Amino acid sequence: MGSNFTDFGDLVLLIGDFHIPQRASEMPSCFQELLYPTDKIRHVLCTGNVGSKAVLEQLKALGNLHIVKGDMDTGFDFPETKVVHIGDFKVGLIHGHQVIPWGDREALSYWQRKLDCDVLVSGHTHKDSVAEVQGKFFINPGSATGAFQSFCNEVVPSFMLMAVQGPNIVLYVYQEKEGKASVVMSELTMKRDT
Amino acid sequence: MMEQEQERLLDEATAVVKEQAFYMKRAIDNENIRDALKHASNMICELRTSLLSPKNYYDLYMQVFQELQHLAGFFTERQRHSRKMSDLYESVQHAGNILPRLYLLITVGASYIKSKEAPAKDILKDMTELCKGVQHPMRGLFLRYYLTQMCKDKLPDTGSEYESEEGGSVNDAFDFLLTNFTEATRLWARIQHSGSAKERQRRERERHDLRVLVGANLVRLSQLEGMTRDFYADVALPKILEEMASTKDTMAQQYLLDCIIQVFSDECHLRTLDQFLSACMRVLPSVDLKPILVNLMKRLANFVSANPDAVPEGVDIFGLFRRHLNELIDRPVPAPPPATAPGATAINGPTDRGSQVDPSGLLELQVAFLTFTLTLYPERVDYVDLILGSTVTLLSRIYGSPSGPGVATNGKDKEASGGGGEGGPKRKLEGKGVDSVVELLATPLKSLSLSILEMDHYTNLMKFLNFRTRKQVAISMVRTVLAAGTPLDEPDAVQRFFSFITPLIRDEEDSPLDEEVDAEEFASEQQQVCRLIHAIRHDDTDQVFAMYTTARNAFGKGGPRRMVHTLPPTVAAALQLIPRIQQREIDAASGIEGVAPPSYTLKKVFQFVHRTCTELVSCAPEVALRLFLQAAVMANKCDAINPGSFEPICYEFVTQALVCYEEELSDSRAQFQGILMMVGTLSSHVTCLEPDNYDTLAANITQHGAKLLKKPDQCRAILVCSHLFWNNPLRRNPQRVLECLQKALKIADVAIQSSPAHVALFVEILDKYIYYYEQENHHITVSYISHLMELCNEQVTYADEDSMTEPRKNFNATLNYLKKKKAQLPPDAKYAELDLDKLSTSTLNNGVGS
Repeated sequence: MGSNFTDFGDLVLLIGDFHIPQRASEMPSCFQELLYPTDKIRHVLCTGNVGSKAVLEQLKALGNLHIVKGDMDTGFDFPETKVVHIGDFKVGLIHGHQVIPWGDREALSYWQRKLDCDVLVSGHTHKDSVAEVQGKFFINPGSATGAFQSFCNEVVPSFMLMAVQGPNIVLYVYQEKEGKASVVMSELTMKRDT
Repeated sequence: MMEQEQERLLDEATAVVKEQAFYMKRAIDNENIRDALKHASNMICELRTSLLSPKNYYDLYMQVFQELQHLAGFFTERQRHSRKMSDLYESVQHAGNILPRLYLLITVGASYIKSKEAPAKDILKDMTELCKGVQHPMRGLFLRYYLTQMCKDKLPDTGSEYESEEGGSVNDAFDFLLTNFTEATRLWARIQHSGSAKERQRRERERHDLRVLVGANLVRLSQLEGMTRDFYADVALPKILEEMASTKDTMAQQYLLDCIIQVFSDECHLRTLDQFLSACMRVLPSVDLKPILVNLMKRLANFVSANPDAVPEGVDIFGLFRRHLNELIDRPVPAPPPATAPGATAINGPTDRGSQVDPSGLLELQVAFLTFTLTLYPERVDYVDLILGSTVTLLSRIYGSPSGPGVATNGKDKEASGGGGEGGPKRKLEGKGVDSVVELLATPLKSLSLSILEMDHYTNLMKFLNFRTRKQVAISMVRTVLAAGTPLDEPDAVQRFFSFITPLIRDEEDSPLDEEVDAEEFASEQQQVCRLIHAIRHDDTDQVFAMYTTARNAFGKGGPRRMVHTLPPTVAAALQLIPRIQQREIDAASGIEGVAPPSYTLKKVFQFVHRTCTELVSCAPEVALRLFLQAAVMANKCDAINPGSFEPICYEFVTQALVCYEEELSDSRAQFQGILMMVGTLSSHVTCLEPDNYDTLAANITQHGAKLLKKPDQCRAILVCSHLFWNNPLRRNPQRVLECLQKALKIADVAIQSSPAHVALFVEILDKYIYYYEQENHHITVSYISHLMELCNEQVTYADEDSMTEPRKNFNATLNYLKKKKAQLPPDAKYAELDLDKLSTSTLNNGVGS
């Protein structure tokens, strides 16, 4: 993977569930190499659970930070939810422990309606996923450190980058595999209501 | 005024030199030897002055020297003067004045040697002897310099054209240079006593500038072809050192030691290391040995690294340096030395500055020695430890032993506790020495990393530092381990490591009080410590757990303010270990070869987790609650593999979470979040509980939800709790779900009395009804939904405050959702009976921007 993202225009970083240092020492070095030299990231959407102020500062240094409160962010004063306008999209942000049952699609739909957003970004499950339900997008960037989560069997470190152009989203899902960052790209197109 | 006077004197002398030189050269052109000698003599007479400062005298000397080269050239061209060299040599000795006489003698003598009409050694010896006639320090020194300059290329050195049976050998060349060196050194040393005491300081400075006049002899000595290593070791060095010792002059000793290092080869130094170092120990106490020894170490380090085979057999470089440095350390504290060379900090033994003994010079030397040692012996942990040990010895003599109970001080009363007599450093190190000690600790850390744990003296040395500095050292140890990615894979090493970083782990006598601690800095330090937990790695789960236990025990001494940081990672790590232990138990039970059952069983690890979480309950209840729940999920996972075995453990953990909620959580937001976490855990991830146990927990949690202080919280908590009776597949109870929703409605009804904005609750309840309706809970019918929608519609339509914006938006979103369901092809049959048309007009007209 190249270490710059020059071709993509403004990028949105979706990332969260670090749990540094409670459950992990740091992000995989391949992720750090990808993220830290770049200045192409405009917005950072963090699903919470940073774990420490140091991580928060690093995120702030990356771009405009929008962050919500994770279940372990007891010492931080973040909002429970947030809605950010990015291009043509309204993007809702929630950590996900409030979505009961955790990770449940219909429960997520409820929060998507409540936040009235086109894209709902949530975390907590430590498992990255992308889904489209009735024209709305549900994105979970997973855990950037692959932090332990007792209800998961194996956590693969992951984060996502999102390039927004008009009604299209190009989504890059980064996963750490054997010390290297692998990336899968997918395109999401919003169908506007008439 | 001095400057001007000097300038004038020099100008006058220069004028005479130029004039006489002019006549001298004209006489040479005319091949008139008598006139040439006369004018040369007049010119040289200017050097008889005692008024010029050393620097100006040097300028004048250089002019004369240049001019005399014409004369020397003339003498060498035999055909031009057609005199026998021996006659010339004789004739110049008739000059009336001793200084011109000797300058001229040397000028002729050099040509005489060149002519080979007499043995070089005889002429050299003769000139050397005659030069003794000038005993004025500056004039004599320059005369000697002239002798060396004129004869340096005319010595009977090995292989030179002047070497022969009669001409002499390298021994004669050496004797000539050594004698001149000896005489020059003495004259140079005597300059300090000439002139008034007032100007002593400036004179000493200027004398220092003249040191090259002495060194020139050593430079030439080192260049002798015959200066073999044997000759150097057996003849040259002993004599030079003897001369140096006899000068009793600080500046001379200082310069000569340095000069020896600079001019002779590294092979020579390696050969004579003991001799040289022993001589260093015998110099005047006012000589600053630090730059000398540092130079020597630097040179040897470079040389030996590039030529590892150059070290002679039987030479123990480390041992020699160590023995001699220890000799310095062991010296009694001397009386304050008399004023020394400018800028020199004497380090021959600890110096006494007023009442304060200052070991900083010696400490810097130890730092240099350490760097040197690590360059030459990068693997020798024991060597480093010896150096640290010597440093501890040094500091103990001044500050008291570090091994006692450590009567440390608390910043403010440093002065007061300075006089204590018994054990432990009485005072902490201050000033320049601190940096050196930090360097002594940091340098081996960088190159040897965790091998420092094998050292006996490392922690003792730390004890001389004040708390803040000790803590910085500890932090850099932690950072080094983390940055290197070195796994902590040995229980003993982990144990030792935690003792090394004690200032981060627990309060010590001199730790600052809570209110003096910068909270952010403290947190960030503790977070670094936490990362160590994740560096613990081993293939054997027993080893891993033993290391976790070590860490846990260390953290347990840290008090609540550290434990809130350090215990959660410990719990998470232990939980993470559980699947591996379970797999090992299974593998061992099924007789897989090479797999032994773990000594630390799952139950022991769960106990560990339980104990550790319990410790957190009072200092970090919210975190403790979540960790108990994580542990419950882990126990549930174990039970899934080994059904029935872990149910009690799982139940216990959820119960403890609930107890923690009841006893410690008082903030309503924390309470609501606590319920959310308990419901999230139980409803989705706990499946092993006995029905009674599950029901007890579910009922308890729901009751707590209903008891929250604020009505909206109650309402939302009950909605959340409804999932306890639906999403857990084993305990699905549609009736209880409906009861929850109805209870939520009741609460919302009360809430809306106090504020119409609480209509938001109705919309949220509506969404829950829709959720369960779509989930096919048959107790939830479409008529409930229809009824609720009318209710919401009414509320959001007729209330028109700003506070209604959000609920109205939410309601419209829900409405749109349902309309889509009805409009889709084929329409969702579930909603066939639902009539949305009567709602939509009014609501949408009032809707915000729809």
